[in-house]
This record gives sequence, structure tokens and C-alpha cells, in this order.
Amino acid sequence: MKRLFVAVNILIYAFILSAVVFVMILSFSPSPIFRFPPEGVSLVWYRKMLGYGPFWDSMGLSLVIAAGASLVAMALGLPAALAVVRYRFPGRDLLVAVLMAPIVVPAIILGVGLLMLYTQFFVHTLHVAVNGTVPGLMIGHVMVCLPWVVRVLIAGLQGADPAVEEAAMNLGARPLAVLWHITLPLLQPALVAAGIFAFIASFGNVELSLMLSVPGTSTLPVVILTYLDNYNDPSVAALSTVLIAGTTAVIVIADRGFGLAKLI
Amino acid sequence: MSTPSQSSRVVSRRSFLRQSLLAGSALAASRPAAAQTRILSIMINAGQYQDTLTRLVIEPFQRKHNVRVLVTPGSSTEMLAKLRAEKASPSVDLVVIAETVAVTGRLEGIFEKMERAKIPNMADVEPKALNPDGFGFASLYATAGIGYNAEKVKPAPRAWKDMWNPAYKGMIGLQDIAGTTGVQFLITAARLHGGDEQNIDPGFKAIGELMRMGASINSGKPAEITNLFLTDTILMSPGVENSFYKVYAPKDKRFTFVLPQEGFFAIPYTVEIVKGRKSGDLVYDFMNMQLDPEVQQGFMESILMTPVNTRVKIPSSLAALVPEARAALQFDWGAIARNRAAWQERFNKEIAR
Amino acid sequence: MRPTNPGARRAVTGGLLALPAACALGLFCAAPLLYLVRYSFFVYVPGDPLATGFTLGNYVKFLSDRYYLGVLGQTLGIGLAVTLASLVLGFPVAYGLARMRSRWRAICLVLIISPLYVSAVVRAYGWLVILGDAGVVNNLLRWLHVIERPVRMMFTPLAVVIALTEVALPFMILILASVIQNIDPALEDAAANLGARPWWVFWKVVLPLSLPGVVAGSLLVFILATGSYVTPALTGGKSVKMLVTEVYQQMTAIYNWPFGAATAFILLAVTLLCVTGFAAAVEGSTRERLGDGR
Repeated sequence: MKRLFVAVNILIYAFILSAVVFVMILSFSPSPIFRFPPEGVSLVWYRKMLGYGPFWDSMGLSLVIAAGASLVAMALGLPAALAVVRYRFPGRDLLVAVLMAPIVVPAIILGVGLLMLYTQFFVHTLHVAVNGTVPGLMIGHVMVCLPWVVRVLIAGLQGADPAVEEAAMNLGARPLAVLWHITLPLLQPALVAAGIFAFIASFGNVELSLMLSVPGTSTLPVVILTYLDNYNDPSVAALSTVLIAGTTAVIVIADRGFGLAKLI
Repeated sequence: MSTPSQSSRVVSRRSFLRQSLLAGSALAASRPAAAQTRILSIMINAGQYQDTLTRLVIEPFQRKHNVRVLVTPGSSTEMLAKLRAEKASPSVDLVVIAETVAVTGRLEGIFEKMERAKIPNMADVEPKALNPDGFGFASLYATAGIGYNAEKVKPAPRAWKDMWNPAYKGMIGLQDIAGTTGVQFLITAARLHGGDEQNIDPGFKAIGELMRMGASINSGKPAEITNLFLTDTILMSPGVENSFYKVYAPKDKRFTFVLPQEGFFAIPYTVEIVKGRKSGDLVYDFMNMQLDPEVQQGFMESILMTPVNTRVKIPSSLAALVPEARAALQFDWGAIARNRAAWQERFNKEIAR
Repeated sequence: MRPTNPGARRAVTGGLLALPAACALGLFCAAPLLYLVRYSFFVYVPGDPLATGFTLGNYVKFLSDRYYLGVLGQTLGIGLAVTLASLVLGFPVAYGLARMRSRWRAICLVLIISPLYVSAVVRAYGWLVILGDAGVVNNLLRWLHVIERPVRMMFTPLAVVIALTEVALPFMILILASVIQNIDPALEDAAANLGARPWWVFWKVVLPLSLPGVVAGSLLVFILATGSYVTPALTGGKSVKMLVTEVYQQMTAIYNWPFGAATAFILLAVTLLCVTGFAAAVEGSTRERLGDGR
């Protein structure tokens, strides 16, 4: 039984990784299209990718925006999740439904609406130019991250046994102390998962970033999409391989340094 | 102070770090710090056009006028959606956009009429390239005809009507009519079967027939078409641009281009200026440089675009690939813009299944 | 000195905690949508973009056209298929991950997360490499002489479901794993020691206790799948009709914004209906789970 379980797991892992693995193999192929059996190994696309400026410019912007948007989303989402799970107030169920709105609505709609809001309300009423700016783009990303953060934290809070918190409060601890010493540590896996999801949602976001674009700079997924529309070479495959290697390295280091794996 | 550029550069890893810091500091500012340097914000089509424009116009322009040009690459239709949404306070000054989309933009008051006197090179421009109502102009033309795999397609196609030759069953890839060449082919199909822009039924029927003969639909994007040809998924496609032949290898017979007998499609790269822009008259200097004979010649030689500056002569060595713009098939862009929505819906329901 | 109504006090605290998120959503999500809601009632006049007016015609057009209803149906169907596939495939991996020793867990975590940093666009192209006419599967089958001409797998609903499931699985797995982690393994051991078969332990012990994760994961994946644009567009092409693609075309190619907006809100309404319906059905039977304000 256990062997069957392991075998099933391995097959599913293979499925998850299949698209990525073949992209990595393609990045080393000398010809632009995939041939099976593979023709050989070449680093020509890596050289090309390293020299293509827009990839690197946009990656910097994407990292900054993803980090910022995730932090803001966590700051907004944690109290909201606590409120929804541990408290009862009028409009709670409505809030839970509405919290999903940013990812249920097609990004083109949200993007167009945000641009209208920026230009018609912010500019003309508040005299603040937000459209076509990095803060304007980041606001959109915060909206995209927020539902992920909230849902993951709600699930985490629901799974955490409130008995420990109750015991602490019965012993006289104040709510804030309970939050800091008991709830948050219990929530660590969920917090890490929420942070990861938020970062990924922002880093990989395409459609909203297209509409809220900042003149002169793009985010990485937009640059990749534009490149793939117009050029037929595996430079993007090489870039993706580098990204995977990079994030793998970061996770491994985080694990060695902070015991990341124990958190999830 | 060196300016960030969107073109390929050999050593750009340093710019990665600089851009991260710049992006971080840009968080505090609404627009990048530009106390001394003026800014011009443009939206253009990505790909080879952007690369060539950067090399021939943007970089020299930045140096000559001490201006920073911010480029937003994208597809024409997405551009208009953005411009429409931020109409109350646009973030862009100038666009190079497809004519079908430009028509809509002019109607909606997104674009502004030009003061053509401010563009010295305008005197040399082919009159047909100018918008008759005082708006923008075509800066260049791309040329579309028939692309086919000469190794596998026999007999070689010579005209648009050849598409309906039963010998080509299952070989043809048609482009979605969301793109300029797709809708031009629809109208051509209509004209070949007794209709035109006002009577498009014959066009839909004819294309329906092609679908029954095994044709497939693609998005029309350059990389997708190349990939379809490389993998032999399609062997022929009407509406492919003349630069197609250079895509993979110049002598590769799999990428053969021909100008059809009935006439070719000219795709105008229309330049328009945005109403309510922040950069004022800087756009006129930019447009003047776009029309410089050297620039137009450069576009012709590197990506086979047809110049509009009459001073630039098309050499006989390129005549087979770069035809004179006035020999192109003419289309009623206004009618196309008006009917677009209905045609696209019909296309989605009847053809693209 | 306690106020006489602890319930009211807790309501105020809860409200205050939720306020920042509610304000942000109100300003940057609800307000933009209101602009588009207005648009959905405008009359569309091709060539006259400033036409406004008021009409329910856009909604009527959608709901009375079998083509669009069919697109909605296909979208929901694909969303459901992806959700089920993610649950079935994700649960074993999530369980394994939650019960693993930390050394292995780090490696497996890396494996699961690494595709997420690769853009959806690139992964869609990866599926083209695998399922395309000149891709791995077809090349392998031809090399083995199982088939003569390539089998068309790309640009079908199946390809879209496969690609979307691959995108959704890491999320489902991580959500499920973080909830399963909190289930005390002693419960499962106890049941096993009392003679219960593994299947029974799963069905009666693990699954009910992991329900919040199942619900959260399913909701997220369903919404992800029905609202996805890039992946279905690249793997499904023009023949797999998804509603979001339709909205995109209306907004960025056809410029019939009234109809595009109406379509988007119909999608929004239907999705929210499915989501709240599902959540209510599950959480209704376990009401105390959401918290009574203890």
C-alpha cells in the first residue's frame, strides 16, 4: 500500500514538472524547435538571453513590486482573516465573498476600471497622477494578492485549534499577547504559504500589468509575452531555467538558514 | 547620465541592479525624476519594428534633443483599450498604431489633429499617406502577401484566388480577423466572389469553404506563424508579411514569399498624437525624425518596409519584395472600423470553431 | 469593568480589524467595477463611442444567445474539471508532504513550487512542446510506429484542462498540506490501531478534518480556472471558447465595451454564485467551523 502511494506521488510530481522540464531541455537545444531525440547541447540561447536588456530591467521591477505588494497584502489580509474567523460582525459574510472579487473579475475589466478611476477621480478630483506610475501598478498588484492571502489565512485559522488561545485568555493573557505568542506561531505554515502565494501571484501577473503598464518599464511576464509573440527562439526557455535555478537556490538557502521546510 | 534603453545590449547585468534601485526609488515619485531631461512617452508595436525604431530613431533622438523616450510596446488593439480607459489623463504622447484602430481613436477624440507645418519633412511625404481630415499619417507601410513552403507546396501559388485550389487542401493557415491582414483577406475573399466591404457575405462563405477544405486559424502573431511553418503544421498562409522570408534563414525555401497577382496588402504604420498629452510639441520633432530619408531608407533595408518619403527610391534589387505603396489594394478603413464588431462576432461563431 | 454586551464589543473589534482591507477593496476594486457596471448599461453604437443611454440589451443579448451561453457552459465545465483533477491529484501529494520528514520535505517543496516562478506563458509553451503536433508525445508515438500522422492534442479542451490543472496543482497542494499538517497523526494511528483500513481512515478521519483546506483550495482553483486568460488562450486557441477570452476580445479588439462589461459581470455573478453556494453547502453543515465569535 505504501509503495503504491509513493508511486502515485512520483507520477503526480512528474506531471507537475513536465512542462517545466521540457522547457529546460529546450533551452539547451541548438535549434529553435524541439526535436526528439534531442540534437545536442548548446548554450547559445543563454548567451543571447543574458545580453537582452529588457529581461533584466523588467525582472528588477517585478521583484520590487512583488515584494511590496505581498507585504501590503499581508498587512491588510491578516487582520481581515482574523476578523472573519474569530469575530462576528454585520456584513461578515458579504466581506468574505467580496474578498475574492479581484481574482474573479477578469483582469482586463479591473485594469480598465482602475485606469478610469485613476484618471477620472484621482487626477481630476485629487490632482494626483497615478496612472502610468509604479505605485498605480502596485495598487493593482495588491488587489491581486489580497484574495490569496486572505483565503489561505482563513483556512489556516480554521484549522488551528482555538482551545490553546482560550486557555491562555482564561489564564488572564491580553488579546494582543495571545495573538503574538500563540496565534501567530500556530499560523506560521499558513503565513508562509500566504506570503509565497502573494509573491507568486504578483510576480507572474500578466493581464493586469499590461493595462497598468508604466511607460518605459515593463514587468517580466509582460516582456516575456511580448518576446514570445515576436521572436521564435528559446531565449525565454533559458531565462526560465535560470529563474528556476535561482529560486531553488533561494529556497535551499532559506531552508538551511531558517529551517523553512519545518514551517510547511 | 546614460539613458536606459530597451534595445539589446551586450552587458546589461549592471543595469539590472541599477533598475532595481531605480524602481525602488520610483516608488516615491510619480514620474521618474526629470527636472532637466524632458520626457516623451510613446506606444508602438513590439518586435522587429521596435528594435529598428530604437536603433534608427529613438537613440539618435535622445542624444540630439536631450530627451528621454519611454517606450511602451504592445499590440495596436491593446493600445487603444488603454488609451480609451485613461483618456481623462493620458500617460502617452504619441502612438504608432494600426490604421483600423486609428480610425476608432480619431472618432473618439483620443487623437488630435496635427499642425503639419511643424514637420519640415512632411513636404516630401506621399500624399496618400496623409489622413485627409488633418490627423496623422502613415510613417511606413508593411507589405503582406502569401507565404508558403516552396519545398512542399506544388504548384506554387501566384494569386489570392489560388487559395481555393483543391490541391492545397489541409495546407492553409488563415489569420484571425482581429489582425489587419486577417480582415484584409476577408474583404479580398469577398471581392473575389462578388462582394466588398458593404456586402461581406460572399467573403464569409468563401472562407467557410476554405475551412471545409481543412484550413486552420491562427492568431497572426509572427512567432506563432513561424512556429507553425517550422513544424509543418501549415504550409501556406495568406496575409504573411514580406519580412517572413528572412525569419529563419534567407535562403530557406520553406519560407518563400510572393506578391499576389491581384495586388498586395499594404499595412500602414499610422502615427497619431494623443490629445491632452504632457510633452507638447516634442512629438513634432520625433515625427520629423521618423520621416528623415536616412531613417526611411534604413527601415526599408533592414525590415523591408515601404517608405513614404518620396525622396527614397526603392532599388530594383528589392522591388520584388518591397513594392510601391500606391500599387497596393485599397480598403475602406472607415467601413472596416464600423463593421468590425459584427464581423468578429460572426467570425467567432461561424469560422473559428 | 466589563461592558454589558461582550458581543457588541467583539463586533466592533472585528469590524475594525476588517476595515483596512475593506477600504482598500472598496476603493481599488469596487469603485473601478462601478465604472464598468455603468458601461454595461450603455447602448453600443458602432462608430459612436460616446453613446450612453440606458439599456438592458447587453445582458439580454448574452443570455438569449445560445452561442454565449455555450461559452459560459464550457467555461464552467472546464473549471469544474480542473478543480476535480486538482483535488484528486493534489490530495495524495499534500498528505505526503505534510507527513514527510523535514529533509525530504524541503526537496519536495522546491519541486512543487519551482514551476510557479516560471510564467504561465512559458508553461503553456511547454505544453506545446509536449502535446504539439511536432511535440514529445507525438514524436515518441511515431518513433514507436504506433501512429502515422500526428494526433491533434493541442488546441482542444483536454489540453486546456491539463495545462490549467498543472498550474493549479501547486496551490491546491500547499493549501491542503498546511491544513493537513494541523491534523494530529495520533488520530490516524489510533484509528489504524483499532483495526480501521487505510481507506476508512482517510475517508472518516483525514478528509473531514481537512475540509477547510479542501474548500479553500477548491474555491481558489475553480476561480483560477474560470478566470484564466493566458493559459487557455495559448493552449486552447480559437476553438476552445472561454468566457474571459470573449471579454478580452470585446474590450481590446471589438471595442464593444458595453457588451464586454456585461459579459464580465455575468461571469462574475455566476462564479460568485457557484463559490458561495459551494461554501455555504459545506460550511452550513459545519457551521461552528467559521467561528461564532469565541
